[in-house]
Amino acid sequence: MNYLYLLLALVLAPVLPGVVNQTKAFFAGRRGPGLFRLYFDLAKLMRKSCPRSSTSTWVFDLAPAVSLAVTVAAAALFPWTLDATAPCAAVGVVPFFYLLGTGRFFTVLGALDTGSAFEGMGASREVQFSALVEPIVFVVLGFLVLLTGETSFALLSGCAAGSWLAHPVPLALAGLAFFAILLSENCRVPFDDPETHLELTMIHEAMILDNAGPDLAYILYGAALKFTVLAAFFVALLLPRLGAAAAPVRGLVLLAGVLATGVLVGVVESIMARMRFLKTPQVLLGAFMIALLAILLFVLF
Amino acid sequence: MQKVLFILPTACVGLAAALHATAYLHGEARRHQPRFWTFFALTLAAMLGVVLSPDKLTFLLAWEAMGLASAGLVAFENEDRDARKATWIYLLACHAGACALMLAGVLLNRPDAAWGAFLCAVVGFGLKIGFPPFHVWLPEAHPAAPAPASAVMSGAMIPLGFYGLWRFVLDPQAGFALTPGMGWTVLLLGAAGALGGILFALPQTNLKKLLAFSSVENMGVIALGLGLALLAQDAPGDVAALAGAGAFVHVLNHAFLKGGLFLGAGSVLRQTGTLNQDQLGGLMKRLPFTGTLFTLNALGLAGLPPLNGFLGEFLIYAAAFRAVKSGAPALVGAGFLVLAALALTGGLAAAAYCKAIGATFLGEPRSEAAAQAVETPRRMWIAQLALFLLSFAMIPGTVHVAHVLTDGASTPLLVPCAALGGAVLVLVGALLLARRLSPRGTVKPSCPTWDCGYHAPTARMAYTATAFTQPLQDLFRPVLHARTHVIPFKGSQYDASDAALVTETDDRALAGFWRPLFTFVARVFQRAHLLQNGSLHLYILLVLVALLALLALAFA
Repeated sequence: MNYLYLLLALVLAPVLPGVVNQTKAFFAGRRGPGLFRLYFDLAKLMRKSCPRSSTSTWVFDLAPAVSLAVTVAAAALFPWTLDATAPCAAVGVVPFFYLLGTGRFFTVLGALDTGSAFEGMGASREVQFSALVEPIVFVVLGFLVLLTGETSFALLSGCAAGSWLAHPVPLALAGLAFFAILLSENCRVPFDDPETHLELTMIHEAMILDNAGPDLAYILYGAALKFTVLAAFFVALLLPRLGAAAAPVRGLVLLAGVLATGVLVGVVESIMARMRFLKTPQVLLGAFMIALLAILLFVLF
Repeated sequence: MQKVLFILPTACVGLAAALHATAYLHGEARRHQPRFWTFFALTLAAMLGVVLSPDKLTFLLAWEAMGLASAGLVAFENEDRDARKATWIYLLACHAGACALMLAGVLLNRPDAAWGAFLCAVVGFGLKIGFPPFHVWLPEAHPAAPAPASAVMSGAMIPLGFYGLWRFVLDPQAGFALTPGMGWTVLLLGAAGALGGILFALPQTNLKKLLAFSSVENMGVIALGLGLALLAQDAPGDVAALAGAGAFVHVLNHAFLKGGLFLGAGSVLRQTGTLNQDQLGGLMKRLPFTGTLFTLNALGLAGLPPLNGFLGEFLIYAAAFRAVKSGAPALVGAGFLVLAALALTGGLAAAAYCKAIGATFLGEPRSEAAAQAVETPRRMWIAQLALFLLSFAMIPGTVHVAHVLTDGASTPLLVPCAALGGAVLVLVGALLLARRLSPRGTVKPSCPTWDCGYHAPTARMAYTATAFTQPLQDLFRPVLHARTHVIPFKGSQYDASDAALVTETDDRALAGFWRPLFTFVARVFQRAHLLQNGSLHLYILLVLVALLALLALAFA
């Protein structure tokens, strides 16, 4: 059952960027490119060729495939029906986040492999922000361990009992900190703007300037999948216990939550400008403090 | 068990380094080579002696021999001023460490001086391991020594400090009563070492200096696991077993990976004549084997799955989660400290290794020397390959060793992880095949890099190592105290090719702590110079005063 929903998530992942874009289009009074735009883009890109910079080496060649492969592997670890007894879920959350880290490592190396000034710039910013995000991720995870007494994926409150009733404020704060992680890791406003047209202001987009054809398709699909997986983590962190519900219902509620997260991100992107780069570390430090506050409130009260 | 596991890296890294050295030393004058091999063999023999020594006295003798023999390796290029300075610092560190260890040996027999003995052992072994602020010799000695010697010293010798710590105080059979305060000491030293090490590794432009600071970081990670294990030794559950096993397997993983990286750095130095990453670039095309193996080793050491460096860190994470779960206040605090420190270290290590690979091997060459470089003799990359294969074999090896050390508690965690690594490889293969089978999927290099319409990109436009880490360096400026020199235009203001910006990040422990300390000590002893002014009369007077004082003491 878990794997059925994994398959569903893999198939539906490209819808999530569509949801964000449609939400933004709604706010801007446009018609928008449609929910399923990314599917058409992917199909088109798979038919195109991959021109390759003569500077690049096997690293550039391999990077998109590795990034996508580890993201799929991370998705396979996630309990899509919130059933913590699923075989992969017991391994826990550390490999899940570290696999995403491997993907980023290869994306950055692929960018540096082109020798382009802009891609180097994007890579430099990417490693800076992701290095600062890591401690927030693991402090939030530590908080969830403290809250639920579980160390596998069962630490997601969607799997655990009564967390919201007993500790509403700390859980809300942890959710807020994880929302910052979600936005930063997926290169959304206010950390990065996926729609910017100026290379100087890009982060993730700048790193993939030289990719085309199937490679670009892998990268776009990988980004959508990473977004889906982290959004699912966010939803499962906040969902109150669904224990009584049957597994199919839990899985469907989770996927619906992922789409709702897409709307939420779209709203945030519509009502908020992107931050200056120099402000970003301060915001991430703020998110870290919020996570620590959640722990303090939990321990003290 | 422990002895075997410490002999393994010594022997393997030693053999691979020796193979590498046969080619590395090729350019050296013949008369210098015996000196290298003598000290190299003595160092390895002393290291084996340290592990195999039956009692503390032989241990200390072998320990001291190990320091002296390896100082001969650091001093190998003694016509270089930096190498002489590094040797001096290293010898000082070795002897200070030996003093502390002798003191520890004495104090260990006194039950009322447990803390004194523990601190002496931590200082003595910390000087070898590289706990801050005792790490000063690492970033000096590693770049100065020939690469095969650095590989042995960093991969196999400095972790012997942990073996010593285990022999002296941690081994349950040593009968030493450990208190929680001691666990906290190791934990905090580990956190400071891991974060400080990687922060200072990040801005280094010298490749071997970067690797040396990264050794400080990895020893810090090991100490984090060890400290957590000490704190949790009486706690129920498997926190202590997991943390201890994590620290232990990280010793092995670090040995092979870091050994391989130092050998790779040596190959770069031999083929290009420089270790300055701002002068390198584009070496992946010119040294394909060296570059590929360096990249794979760095991926492992950055602690990323599916390679083996991740598994040790994963065990420490798992232990930290269980410590938080246990609910005991001290363990919860320690668990969160380990989580935050390890996570930030992991993120920064990925950044540091991305920079090392990117600036050295990727992009276009930034100097003539890098552009002209060719692949090393086969022996050199075979040595690297051997260490990489060993580290690859450490994936099942880690699973097995951790299984033994934790009585099976680690197996349900590590086996799926290792299997996942295989799945990732299959998936990558499938994706590459899918690209190949796509209608126009054959890939061939065909055009220059897209630089936003500018069609003649040069290597000077690419991001350098310094530029890549500049944002993080600025962010951590209060810690790093980087110095920036701007070399202004000399010729026409329209030609910027002679302008430059140089950033140096020196070791703060040396400039901020040890140098003032030694200056102070020197000043105090300057005062004693009053007594040694060359006047015979004063000396006779002093002898007389001393004699009279002794007489008075005898009759009083």
